[in-house]
Amino acid sequence: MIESQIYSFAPLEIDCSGEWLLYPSSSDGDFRDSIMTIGQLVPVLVEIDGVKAKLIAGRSRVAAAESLGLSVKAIAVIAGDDVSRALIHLEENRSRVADDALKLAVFRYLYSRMDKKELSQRVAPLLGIKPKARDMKLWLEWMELSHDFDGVLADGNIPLAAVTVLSKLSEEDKAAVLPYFKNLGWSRSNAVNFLTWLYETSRRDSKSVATILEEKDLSLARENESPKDGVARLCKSAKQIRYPAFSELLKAQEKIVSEICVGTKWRVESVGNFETGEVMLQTRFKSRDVMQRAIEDLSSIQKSGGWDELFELGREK
Amino acid sequence: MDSKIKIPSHLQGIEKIYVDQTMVDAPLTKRVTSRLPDLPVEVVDPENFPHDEQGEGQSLYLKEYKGKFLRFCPGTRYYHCCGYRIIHIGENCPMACSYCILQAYFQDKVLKVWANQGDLFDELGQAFSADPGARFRVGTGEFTDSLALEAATGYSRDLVDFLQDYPNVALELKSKVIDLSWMDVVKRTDRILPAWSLNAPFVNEHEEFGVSTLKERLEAAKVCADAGFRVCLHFDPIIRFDGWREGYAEIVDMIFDYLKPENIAYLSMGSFRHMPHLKPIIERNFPETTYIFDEYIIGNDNKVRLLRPLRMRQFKFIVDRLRKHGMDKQMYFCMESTENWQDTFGYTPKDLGGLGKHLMSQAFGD
Repeated sequence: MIESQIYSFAPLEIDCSGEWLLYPSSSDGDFRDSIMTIGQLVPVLVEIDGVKAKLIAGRSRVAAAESLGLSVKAIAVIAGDDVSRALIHLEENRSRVADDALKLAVFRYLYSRMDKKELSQRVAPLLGIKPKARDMKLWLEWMELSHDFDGVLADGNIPLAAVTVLSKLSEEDKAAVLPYFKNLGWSRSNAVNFLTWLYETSRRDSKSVATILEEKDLSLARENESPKDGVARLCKSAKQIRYPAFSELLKAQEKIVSEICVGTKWRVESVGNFETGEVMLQTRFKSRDVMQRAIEDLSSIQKSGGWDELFELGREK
Repeated sequence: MDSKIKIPSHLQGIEKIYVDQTMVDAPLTKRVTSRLPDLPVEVVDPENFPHDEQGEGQSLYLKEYKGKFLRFCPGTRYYHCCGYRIIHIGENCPMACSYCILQAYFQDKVLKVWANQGDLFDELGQAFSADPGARFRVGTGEFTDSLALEAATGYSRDLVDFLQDYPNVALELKSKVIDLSWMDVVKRTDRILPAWSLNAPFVNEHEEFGVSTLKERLEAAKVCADAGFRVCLHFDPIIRFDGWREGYAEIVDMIFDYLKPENIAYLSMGSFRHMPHLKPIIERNFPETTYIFDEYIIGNDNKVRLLRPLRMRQFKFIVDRLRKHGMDKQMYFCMESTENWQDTFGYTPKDLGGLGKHLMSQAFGD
């Protein structure tokens, strides 16, 4: 598969346009300087087809040599087809970090050319993914999606895990949620929760996600709102839409607690999702004085009539 | 009794019978294979059951069971459990109800039947005779439907016959099918409790597959009541859907077209609850099902259950309706808190002397 002879080519004799060159060129000033001072330490890989050499791996070295007016040392490999060329390319670049954008490019390129089992067993390890890992299942699921979300995945705005929900959405609903990921970067849990809440609401209410987004006015961005605040707002709204009764209980609880605890450092929370009416009180102190004050505050707030209301939250008498 | 039968519709998905090497000569094996003579039979080594060969079709596995046959129903300390004891006769069910927990327990379509009935009867005999003063309320409908395989196995009939010698045991046969073939061996109708699950017609029509209709169940309950049995009814799982009030009102009213309150030993109610990992299984197996997207929370037993005020509204509605028909202390909750008992019934299990004790009295007709 690999010849031992080292060839020398002028850079322009090497065809660097192959689609299998999936890793981006990593050429920078330091690399060029290194080639200039020390020379090319490792030959590039080419496939010789008549007089033409197709590059299999080593784009940065060819680019550096071209800019320096040097020839390129190369080893010839026999690949035969695009899949083999891509696999050799990936193998040669194995030590490089593969981000989601690169993995996406690789899987998109090879998905139509290999069966799923081969993709998991031969390609995944070259990208640092175990063949049976959950991530590999997610990648295979992503391959079934249209390319519409590829850009936001490559940009890091949407996590791969979102595919489990995206794949359940209709084309109309996918189009409706895509804009939320164009300019906002979402964490894995926020993205999955946001999409899940919208999807489940649509199933529960027999309405499309697009209709829900329109009805509930989940605007994409607000003036002077940071991306982080925007994501937090959208998640909160989606959760309220998904859990309206639970959200009402939470709202009632917040109101009662704010009245009970006003002017103190005590925090009160209902525990157990309103199953029991139990509440938990918390405060912090680091001196006897502050502790004494907390005890006095507690003695004072325990007289509030709000407690009875709080204990009854969730009951239906 | 042991000749070829007309296979009921809910058993027509069974394609093969597997028999443990040690169970080839078991009476149950001979009965099943003679009742289902057209099905291929394969004798298997239980250590090497051919799981990989299982396809979409169901199979019946006559197995030598080596575990405990008499078990406690798993309850939790946060919610009141009815204290029912389980007689473990097999696992899995040929019917398909979207909400069924068995989907999470058993990933395959192998219907297991414990063919070593002698071992089962030995264990039960020892337990039930250890203290003849001790009473037992037992049932077989926990890991399987009590009567789903009855046409093929005659298991419940055997059990009913065996329990004639134990008047301290009340056996509940809980099912969603109609099979009354066990009735002819009953000598004491006050020790056998035929039981059926009920639900709103919408749930029966959209979420239960391969089962009998509600009308058929109530007709069968009436046959039993007319024969001197008291029956048990179970509203579990209660589910919210558009029009649930009308749906549950309809089935509650329908009960009393067939039965009188005194025909009912007890009636349970339980809101849909499940281990969290059941939800994706339901989503996969029943893609049309939407009640799983209702407002559920994680309860104190770490199971998913409907938000308290939402399920309480359903309980109150159903209980009010049942009370109008004369139902009273026969009603109980499966796995609800003291507060929810108080808010719905106006009393708690403690006021009844404890739920387990109360239901024991109801079962034995004290």
